[in-house]
Amino acid sequence: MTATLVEDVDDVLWSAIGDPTRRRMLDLLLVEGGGTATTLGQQLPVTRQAVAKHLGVLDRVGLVRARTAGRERRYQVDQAQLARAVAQLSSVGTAWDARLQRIKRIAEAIQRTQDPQHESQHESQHDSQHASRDQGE
Amino acid sequence: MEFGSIAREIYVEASPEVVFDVVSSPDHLKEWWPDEARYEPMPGSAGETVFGDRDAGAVVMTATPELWS
Repeated sequence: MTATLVEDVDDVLWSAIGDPTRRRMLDLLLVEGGGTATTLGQQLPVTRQAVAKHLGVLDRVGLVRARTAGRERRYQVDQAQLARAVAQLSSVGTAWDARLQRIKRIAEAIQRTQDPQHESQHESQHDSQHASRDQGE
Repeated sequence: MEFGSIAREIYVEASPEVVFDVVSSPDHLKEWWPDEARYEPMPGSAGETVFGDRDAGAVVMTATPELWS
């Protein structure tokens, strides 16, 4: 598995989670402590074939682990791998929150250099903004 | 693959013109996102943004006018 250089994100893991049916399947497996293609198929509006296909995707990225139990394979969520995916998702959100904060600081610093010394002079702020627009800024 | 959206609201004590400049001009963009940015902030312009160290496997995003047509 490779991670991009921009943030430490596993695209293959994200693709697996980026599907609403697979997320519903993970929910069911978590709530019920495990399941099979049959038990999941009974609770989802998709064919058993589709369930099996989705289980394959989840299995390949390690979000579920399979055990042979009787005639069917029984799947359980791999909590560590799910936690890893959640941490990566959170880290992207955190990175963007930090970027928004930097945008705010940079913009407010620029605004302060464009405003006159006293904060209460709203009229002259308005005037100076007009003036700087006229000067082609 | 489905696409969702994530929205954030942030209050900035600056005019829309100033904020737009910070989120669009290459000299400001470099201060909060890519390591390098070179482009004209106009629709259809060519340019690039670079994430990381060019000599050490940086991610280079390029845009050319053909992409916009």
